[in-house]
Amino acid sequence: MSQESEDEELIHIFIEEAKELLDAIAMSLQKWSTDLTDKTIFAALKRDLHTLKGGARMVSQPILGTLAHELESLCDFLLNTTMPIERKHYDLICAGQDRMNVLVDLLATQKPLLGIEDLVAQFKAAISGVEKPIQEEALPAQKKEPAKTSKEPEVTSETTNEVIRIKSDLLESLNNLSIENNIIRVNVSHYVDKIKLNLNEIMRLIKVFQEKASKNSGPYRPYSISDILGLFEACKSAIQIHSNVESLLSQQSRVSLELQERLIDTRMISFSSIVPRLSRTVRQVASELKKKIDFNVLQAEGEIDRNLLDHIVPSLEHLLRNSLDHGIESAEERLKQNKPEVGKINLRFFRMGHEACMEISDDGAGINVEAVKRKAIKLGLLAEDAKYSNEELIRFIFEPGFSTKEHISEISGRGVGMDVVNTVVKALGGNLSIESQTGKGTKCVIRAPFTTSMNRALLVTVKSQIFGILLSTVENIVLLDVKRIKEALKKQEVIVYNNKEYHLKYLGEVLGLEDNLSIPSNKESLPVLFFNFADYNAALLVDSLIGSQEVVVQTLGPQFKLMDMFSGATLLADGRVIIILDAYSMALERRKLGEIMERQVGAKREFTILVVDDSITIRTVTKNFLERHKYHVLTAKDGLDALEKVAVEKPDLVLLDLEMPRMDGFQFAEKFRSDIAHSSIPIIMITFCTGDTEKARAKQLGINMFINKPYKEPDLLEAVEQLLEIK
Amino acid sequence: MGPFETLLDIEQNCKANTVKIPRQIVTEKDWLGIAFKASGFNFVCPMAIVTEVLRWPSVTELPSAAHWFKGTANLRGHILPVTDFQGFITNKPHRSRSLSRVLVITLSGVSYGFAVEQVIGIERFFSEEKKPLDGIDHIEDYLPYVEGAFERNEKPWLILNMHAVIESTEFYHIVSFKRDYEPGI
Repeated sequence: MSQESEDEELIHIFIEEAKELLDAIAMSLQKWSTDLTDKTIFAALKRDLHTLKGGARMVSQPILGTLAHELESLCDFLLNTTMPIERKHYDLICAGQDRMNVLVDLLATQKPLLGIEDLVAQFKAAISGVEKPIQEEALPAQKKEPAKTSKEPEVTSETTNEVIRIKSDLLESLNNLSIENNIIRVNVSHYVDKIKLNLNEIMRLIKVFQEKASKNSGPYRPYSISDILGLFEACKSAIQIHSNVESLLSQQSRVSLELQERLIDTRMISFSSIVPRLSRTVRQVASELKKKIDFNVLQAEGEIDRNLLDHIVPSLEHLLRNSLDHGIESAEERLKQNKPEVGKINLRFFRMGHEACMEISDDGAGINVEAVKRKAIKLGLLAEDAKYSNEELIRFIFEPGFSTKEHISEISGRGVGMDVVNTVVKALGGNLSIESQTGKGTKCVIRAPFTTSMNRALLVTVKSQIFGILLSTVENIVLLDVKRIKEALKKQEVIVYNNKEYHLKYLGEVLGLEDNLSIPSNKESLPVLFFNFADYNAALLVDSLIGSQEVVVQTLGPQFKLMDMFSGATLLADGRVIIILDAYSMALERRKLGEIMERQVGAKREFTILVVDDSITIRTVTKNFLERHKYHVLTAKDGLDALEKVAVEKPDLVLLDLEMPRMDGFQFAEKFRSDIAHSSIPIIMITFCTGDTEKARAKQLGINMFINKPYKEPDLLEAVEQLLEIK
Repeated sequence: MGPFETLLDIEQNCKANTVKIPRQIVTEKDWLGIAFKASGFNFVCPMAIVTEVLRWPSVTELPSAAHWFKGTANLRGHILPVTDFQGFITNKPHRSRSLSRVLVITLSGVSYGFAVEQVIGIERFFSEEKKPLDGIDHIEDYLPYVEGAFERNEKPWLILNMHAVIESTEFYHIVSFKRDYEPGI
């Protein structure tokens, strides 16, 4: 089995796409069956077959690719022939479509695919005019009509939304909860109506009392017993309604919570689902570097939020590439150091409270802390006489543009990776830590809340400003006596709590809001938050605590990527934006490190490549491939979509398919080139059709290069690099 | 002239005298953008990247922020960083909020807020109105972020390159820890 076909993820994408395309083909055939002389359906039919062919070849499925190709040729023949189209032609195309459905089903169930020689021979005979009867065994009678489809005609390959499969019992319970929620809403609304009637009655009675009181000047009470009883009843009923509504609201709160938890469940997938992709990365990189690797994945059966996993996979791939390139030594070097010839990389997945942890460890050379220090000094990030622990020095590799590698390879060394990994992890409300021992290996641990939906934050005030700190990072919250705080600050800012030493800092000072702590004389105690980070214990003093609450942490965006101390932001119920502080950076006062840093942002700009193809399989394969080589990739499903994309972001290069719905490659190129700003952007056309006519047209439109589909990855990379260098 | 010839004649006459529909007239030659004022200059920003124009939103200030970083705002549930456009580029913050607006610029799916002195509106320019940057005085601070200009009523309209703004190193130094700047608005 080839490496391509082993890639389950891509096969899965292809199968989904093929099913949608076959549905679209079935719809076209259905339309054709009503009027066999109507040749307008051939354009859509050919385009769908063409897309299917491209996808099949991209995922190394030659049987499906050939069948689609032969069917496409038959459609071409029928479109251009002058002879009348008969029912047998229709039956033949239906037979081809049926066989494709069977093949896709076999592929989905991982069974060996059937042969297609019989059908191909019939197609060729039909084209050459020597027709053979359609064999009944190849074309079961009940399958002569195109397969019925439940989808609407407009649902074609253009649908690119991800499909999530949910267990039917889970969907059932979500449905029930939703119904229950609605019933409660109806009941509450009924009581709201009722209470309105009650209040109107109370108002009426009060008016009666007022009128009677104003008319009565004598010593006798103006109210009748029935008036008072009426008011009493109305109030009693209002109180009863209030209690009913309260009970309904508490029911609704339970239902909503359960609904939310179940919905979170729908987003959970097994961590093991990404193992094939990671194994493939390791295999590929190891083979490129000619290193022997034993890659083990431990405890991959746990579940994790799909959204979190989608965001974190590229980071895991980056850490694996780093381990392979920087960490694991060559076989000769390892033998010299009495290490086994085969390097070892372990990936472990585990849960700690509300956090998902992913640990990548290797038995390689470890991080050369001295080299990191030299590079940091050279880049002006660090003063020569600065004293930092090894752990702090290692964190310099998170700085943009930081790499100790002398040479840039395709795998790593550009220094644009670890800062991105750190930013991504931070954006998810997590933390990346690295431990390394020279000569023994490196261990990277990503910790992130196991679902990205909700977090609990502690809200504190400092100098009248409110800040949030993720509660999961806080070890203890204690109200400490002011005297004790003052003593600790005198004693080099060390405080002893629970027999452990903590480095005490005032948050206002760390944030640069105040230079020295001035404690108001009326305060006897102040809140102190205690943190325990690996080998560093810290305590942060704040002005006051507001409390803790559920928050949705949002990323602050790229403009904050250099700001270690802010990990995100959240919105309060009144709409105010609250900044979430990164406790680790606060505790280490990393903003001071920031002051001496001459940042290298923007020095190394990634090239942006726009991939325009109507096949989601080809778009995904090409995007993954280019991203592995550090390109920023935009994708578009056809020419029109591509024009919209380039209006917003100018690419450095375009990879263009020829045959696409709505606007084809040539039409796009013509429009694209008509804008003077795009005149020098190279275009590579990737297509099956490379006849002389097409080539001449392409040259006229300023297309720089042709590559045949399915392309070979090294050829594409070479072409891209060549054109970008020319540029 | 027979009836068929008459019809042909009418057809030819029609074709010769057809007026193109407006959409065809304004094709690739024109340029559409949002115009605004900063430091006394008129700027134009491509229409496609300006997703919204806001009145000054309420912002949460950042501790020790650079004078030009105004803070973060709540844009219908999303966090929007707000930068004083003029302050960022010239180091001289503008002081009036009455006419000031915040342009929401969206690039690569990320939104950035830029506070500008005054928004003029949507302006359409034609390629004949293009003008070289050489003859325009006092735009040194803005030059790295400008990719061309139009001239109308003897006044330059500078075409902004917002990619250059967000790719500049300084744009990421939002915290200064120094208080030696001129206080802004």
